[in-house]
Amino acid sequence: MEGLNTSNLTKIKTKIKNANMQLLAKAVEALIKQRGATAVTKVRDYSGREQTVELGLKDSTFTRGIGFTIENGEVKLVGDTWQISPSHVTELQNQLNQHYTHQAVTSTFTQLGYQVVSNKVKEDIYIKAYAFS
Amino acid sequence: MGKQVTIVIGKEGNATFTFKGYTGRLCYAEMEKLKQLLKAKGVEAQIISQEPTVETPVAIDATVKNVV
Repeated sequence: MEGLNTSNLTKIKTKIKNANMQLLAKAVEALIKQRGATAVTKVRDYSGREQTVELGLKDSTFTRGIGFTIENGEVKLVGDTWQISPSHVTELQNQLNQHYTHQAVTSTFTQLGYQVVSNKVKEDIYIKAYAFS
Repeated sequence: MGKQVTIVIGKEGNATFTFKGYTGRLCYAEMEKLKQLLKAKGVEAQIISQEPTVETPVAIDATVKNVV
């Protein structure tokens, strides 16, 4: 079975379940801004084979692009990680998780009638939610 | 009195919630409501102690599957 040691378009599972596409789109937008990346709708493998994705980015680490999709409620990364350090993939997953959680938390507190203020401090995101009822 | 929740989301996506301005069961009721709403949006939250603190799981399951 082919795996991480070959060039291939792969899907990498995350632990975000029952994901919401709007929140994922906002999370990817924040991720693109954070990484100084470019939004893409096509990713390719080492040999040039392309795959269309709804959300994706390309930067100096993921030069062939990496896509983000929801399958059966699960967020998956789509791309070819051939010759990309697993630590870079993990870092991307963590960043996506952080931004998705941020979007979900902000959206939830707003839905509950709170006013929400967010700040990024070093690698953490601080959110204050206020309600006066 | 106003209610305030401070949330810190760590670099791996862990979130810790601290509730202020709630009394007794109101805090837990709000946490339960929050848990349900977050779950509906794909974020699984767990109450990790008897203190008013909630944490979301983070770790990513790095299972890799071939597309074809």
